[in-house]
Amino acid sequence: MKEKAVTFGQDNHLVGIVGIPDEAVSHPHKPTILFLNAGLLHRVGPYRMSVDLARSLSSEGWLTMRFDLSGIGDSQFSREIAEYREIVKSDIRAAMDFIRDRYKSNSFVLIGLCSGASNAQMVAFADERIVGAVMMDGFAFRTARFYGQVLKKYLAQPGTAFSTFKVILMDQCRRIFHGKGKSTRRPSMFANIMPSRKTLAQEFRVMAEQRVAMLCIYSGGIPHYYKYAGQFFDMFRNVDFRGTLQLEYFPEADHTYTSVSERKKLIACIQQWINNVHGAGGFRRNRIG
Amino acid sequence: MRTHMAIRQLAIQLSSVGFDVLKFDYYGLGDSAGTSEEGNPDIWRDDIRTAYRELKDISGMTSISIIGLRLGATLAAEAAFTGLSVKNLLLWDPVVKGREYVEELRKLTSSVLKGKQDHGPGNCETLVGFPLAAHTISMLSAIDLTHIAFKGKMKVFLVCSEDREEYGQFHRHIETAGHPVRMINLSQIRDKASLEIQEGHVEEAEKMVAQWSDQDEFDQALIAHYAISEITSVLKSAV
Repeated sequence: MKEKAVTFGQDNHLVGIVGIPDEAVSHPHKPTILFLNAGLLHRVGPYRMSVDLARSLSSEGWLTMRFDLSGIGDSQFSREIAEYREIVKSDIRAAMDFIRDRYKSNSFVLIGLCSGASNAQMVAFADERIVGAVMMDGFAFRTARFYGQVLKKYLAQPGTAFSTFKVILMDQCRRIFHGKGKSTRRPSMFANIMPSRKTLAQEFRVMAEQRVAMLCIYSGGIPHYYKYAGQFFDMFRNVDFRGTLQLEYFPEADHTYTSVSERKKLIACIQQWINNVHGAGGFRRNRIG
Repeated sequence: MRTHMAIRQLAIQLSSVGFDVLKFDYYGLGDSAGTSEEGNPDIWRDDIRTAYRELKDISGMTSISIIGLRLGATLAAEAAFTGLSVKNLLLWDPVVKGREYVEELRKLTSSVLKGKQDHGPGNCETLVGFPLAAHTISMLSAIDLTHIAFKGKMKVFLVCSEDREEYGQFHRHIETAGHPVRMINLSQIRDKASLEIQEGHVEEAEKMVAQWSDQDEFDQALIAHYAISEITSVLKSAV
């Protein structure tokens, strides 16, 4: 494989690295794998996780691109006057347009961690070119079992469970005194705006109906929100995922996979999912409506 | 993240005042080829020499200045003091004593991993998420800028974000060797900047918070903008 630094976007303001597989292993009908920024971290990802994964995938025949959204890493700010979410959508579409025009590939799998997961979900729902999304530590809602686990741990080990207990208590106080769903903080430009559970459920339902393949991965690094392997399915009990969603949980990993061994497991998991789901014949998104 | 942003912002500022600028990732780091376990200080010093030649070729300039941050500053100092012809050498918070630096990273690793063991491949040790070969760790531990021998006649700027005994030792070592060196204490500049805001520049502070969509204001929130401005003006006046 080889890598190429590229610029693209309306004002050529976005910077990315395209991983181009050798012709011998390259497959023209495979989707391109797009890596999104994790928070404000530039395109290499936490501890170069995106570099390692992109290179592994490209050496197996996948076209990949790691790129920086407007204002992050080496990309310039967008001149568009719009809400940040709209700029994110526009940047990801610009990346897909660039790949389509330059490399003749017009189906995509998005990979994102944290805000990258939220961005992947937001765009995967709306853009029919996306056939798959890997979402790491994306949206999470506390469930009855989550509260049960917190309480159980607090009663057994008050010291170690105190921080989680405190965060939950403060969240509840905030809701009572400031109104449900209202934040006391002024939202920043990069704030990860949380849609309601109902909205997300509906979006997941549509993605499942359209056969968008999803891999949702949660780490042990967000214990204030996610605490057990099956919590995601409990969060969206009323959604029929129709076999499109695979859920994984890495309780020993922190949010950014600082541990090399946990990071290796994560990379192997994503790689295997991409090869299994998108490799042989691929996943086709149904066009509905 | 902050170092990438700081270097990028500095590169933008320097090019906006007329410098040709090249920034790069060392072998095994960032976007560059290789893995962290394959990199070591010898390779990284060679990378600096390669970047030096590349910048000369691209820009056509004959006079080159080098800026390094943390370990990058240390490697830049070692490359420049051992024969690279450099006009200005700006060292921002250099790692002066390698052994202490490695210990700091070990403590940080242990704190982030909450004491859990994390073994890299083969005989690698993991430092803050990056596996490094045992001989790389040994080479890093052996770094001691207070005993480095000098060649060349560059101007040295030692930029320090905080008061550390090792910066003073390194400063004295350079001076003793007869090199012109200027020490820039960013904490004093930072104190002056915050004092100015307290003394009536409230509207400036408010503007800083309100205009997040503006590139300058955004970067100011994440990196020390006063540091970037100071370094830019220091280099501008040095050429």
